[in-house]
Amino acid sequence: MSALLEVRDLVVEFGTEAGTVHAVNGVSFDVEPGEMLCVVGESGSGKSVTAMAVLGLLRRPPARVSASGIRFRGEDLLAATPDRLRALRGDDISVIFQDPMTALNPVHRVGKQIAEVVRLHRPVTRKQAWQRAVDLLTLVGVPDPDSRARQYPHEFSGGMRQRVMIAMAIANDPALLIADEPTTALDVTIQAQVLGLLRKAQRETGAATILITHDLGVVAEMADRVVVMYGGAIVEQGDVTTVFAAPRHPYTLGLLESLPRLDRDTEELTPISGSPPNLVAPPVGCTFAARCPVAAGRDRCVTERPGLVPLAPGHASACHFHEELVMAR
Amino acid sequence: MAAYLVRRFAVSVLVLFLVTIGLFGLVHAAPGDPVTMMVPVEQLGADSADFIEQKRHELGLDRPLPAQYWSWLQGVATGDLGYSLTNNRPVSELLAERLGPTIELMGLGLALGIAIAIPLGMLAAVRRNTAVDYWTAALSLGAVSIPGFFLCILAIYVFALQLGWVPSAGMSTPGAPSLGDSLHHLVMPVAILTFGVAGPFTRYVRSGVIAELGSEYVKTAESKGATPRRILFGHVLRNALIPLITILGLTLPALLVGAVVVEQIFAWPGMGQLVISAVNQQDYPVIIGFAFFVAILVLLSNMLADVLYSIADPRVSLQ
Repeated sequence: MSALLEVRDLVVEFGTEAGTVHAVNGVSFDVEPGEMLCVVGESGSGKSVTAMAVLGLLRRPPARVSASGIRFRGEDLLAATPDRLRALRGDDISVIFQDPMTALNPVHRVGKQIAEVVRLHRPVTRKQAWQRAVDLLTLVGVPDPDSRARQYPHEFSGGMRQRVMIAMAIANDPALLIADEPTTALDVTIQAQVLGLLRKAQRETGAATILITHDLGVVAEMADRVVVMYGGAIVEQGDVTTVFAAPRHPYTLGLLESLPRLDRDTEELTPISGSPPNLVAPPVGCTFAARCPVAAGRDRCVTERPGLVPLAPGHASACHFHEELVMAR
Repeated sequence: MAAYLVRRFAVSVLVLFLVTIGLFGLVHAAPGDPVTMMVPVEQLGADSADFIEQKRHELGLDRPLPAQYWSWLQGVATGDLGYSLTNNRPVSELLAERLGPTIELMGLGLALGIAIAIPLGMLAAVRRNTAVDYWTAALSLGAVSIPGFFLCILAIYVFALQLGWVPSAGMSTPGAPSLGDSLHHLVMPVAILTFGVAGPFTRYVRSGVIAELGSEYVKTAESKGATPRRILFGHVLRNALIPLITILGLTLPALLVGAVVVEQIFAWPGMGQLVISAVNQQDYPVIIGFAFFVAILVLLSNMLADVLYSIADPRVSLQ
């Protein structure tokens, strides 16, 4: 059984006045049907760009996308025509964006915006599509869906709008759902509700989900598998329990260590010192070397870029010295 | 909305009242005297001072300004804007008969200008930084920066004088009025007004569409699988045109004033011509009547813009 989505050696660059930004450098990963894959990393690590490249939603130019393959159910998306991509988007693959305050069109009724995605892909009447929109609003827990469907986005709170976005995303029972930091713009109390709803949506539709986040708490809560990105590349991936219990990349370790913990009585947090690499002129060696406690002056880290090495089935790390991390925690 | 409109109307009436005071004061403060203007220069002599004095008394111009204003205001309240000093006809009647030709000219210019600006601006936005965009920019910048009167003269020279395609002046050929003839006379002034409207509006539409194309809901629509055409017409256009309502509300009165020049050059018997001659004759009631009319138009079109805005944008509600 092949994966639902296979991404091989994805490279994304942006031509800017400051030079070429190497946003994604050779990213490969699989998404299995029905799984929850979390992509975690800090701002600028390339996680959102990777997802948008998969959907063909990056504007080219300035973006340049290349890969040895982006295959969805075996179909090469890079070679697909714009028409074919449009047929897939919103139907088999759908997206939930970060900021629900701006992702909805302010001048159209909410119900109409949900009905639109149904009508774009299904031969239904206006009335049937509207009914489907109301049903979807019910499903995502919007109270009084009949009258709410006739309202405009500004009449909804942030959490409610994200519910609308989710309703839109699952309207056509997609096989793959990409959620790009869906809770980042929301209040903490609402975040849990939306995550719960994503889980429910996944259960209802059986869709594989790529959940992009910078929040390890979200990863721990949601993920089956996790992909950790840094500086435009994957530095570690594996199933979430393995990666959390025994991280094999110093960056992952640093991320976990930087979380505030209740069981340790320390006054201060443990940040990862330094700042992310400059992607216009990326370092020759490991992108994390400058901030890495393991690298600490080792030549190999600054002269040779480490590749992703399999450690165990489904677990891989891109660190020359990953063995040294085995006993680290 | 009704409460808002009532309140807005009340404020407008107050503003209008203040405007009339300013108008009255300014027009009467201008140097010169309408009665003196009536007397031919060669007949001005030592004895004409008595005549002028008597005439001023007849017309009530020797009364104190507040008293004159008060009687004018009383007249306005009953729909009487006074009488022209030069031909003794009611000002309201004069304005009314000139209103038709002006509206015909302005309305057509405005409608055609916008009808051209919207598709052209959209095209320039979608094809931005291509030849289409640059040509559109050149044309619209030309329309903004070349003064209307110059274009009028140029057009008369080229199309009326040299090519003889269209008549150079007037609304119709004397003695042979027909629909075709009227349209023939309309072509040039309307084309110039259209050009003047389309120029800036194309820029507004272009920048509005470009700004909206970069917004997040466009990305959402793309992710739903909508075609570029659907995104443009179904999502972007309405959002991009909403700010134009405000600009339109501001343009409407300005266009009326701008038409004064075009009317003068093309000998178009509209309000513009009436006002120019009234100013030359210092015909106070006509000047004030026209300015009063423009003030009402400004207030009304602002109010109309607000109402339209609230209809076009669900986020705006008038309370």
